[in-house]
Amino acid sequence: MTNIMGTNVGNFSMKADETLDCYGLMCPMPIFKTSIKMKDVAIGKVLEVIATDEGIKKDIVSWCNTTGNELLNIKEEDGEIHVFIKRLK
Amino acid sequence: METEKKGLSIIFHSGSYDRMYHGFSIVLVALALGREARCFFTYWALQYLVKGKSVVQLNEEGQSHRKLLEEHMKKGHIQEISELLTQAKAMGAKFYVCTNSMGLLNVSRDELVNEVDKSMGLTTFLAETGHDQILFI
Repeated sequence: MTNIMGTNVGNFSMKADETLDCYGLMCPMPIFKTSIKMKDVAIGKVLEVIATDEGIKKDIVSWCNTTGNELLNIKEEDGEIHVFIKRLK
Repeated sequence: METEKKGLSIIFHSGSYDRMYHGFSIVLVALALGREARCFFTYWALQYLVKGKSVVQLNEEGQSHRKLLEEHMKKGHIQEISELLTQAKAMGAKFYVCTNSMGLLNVSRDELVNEVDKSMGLTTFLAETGHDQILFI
């Protein structure tokens, strides 16, 4: 199995401390809801966002760069996109 | 980069749902990126802020895509303006209404939703926006 960042992740499954369901939501809701949810995630903890809107794959990169959070991984399985973000500040 | 944190001011003029919706999308993204957002409602956009009124009005261009929009609304992909308003407000957006438009449309302050911060003229709004980026929708 490969993630969409092109690295082999094998059976590696990333552990998240919090999850956010953005299933079926369209741009800009997944990013907006992520920004709200992130306020409840403690610094150093990982948030997993589950979405179906393809746009999140690129938008989350810009969001993390601008807000200073770390994008750990993006995985795609059965049309579901799983985004893992670590809160840095 | 300093521009990233520059505030965003949007003047909502059109009452067409598709334009309003996209204007709100820009507001929500600006807020998500940590920018301040101020919205000024004039003319046909004002009706979306009247209490207890559910508006989905479309101009000529929007009208030709009505079916598509309604499908997405039914599926919950896109929301009513009132829902976006509540969410944007919760994240700190400011909402101002044009005093002149209120008179023109005969709408009083009491008839407007609680999310509205103030009514003001265009001069006060532009003075308040300072060096913000300004969009006219």
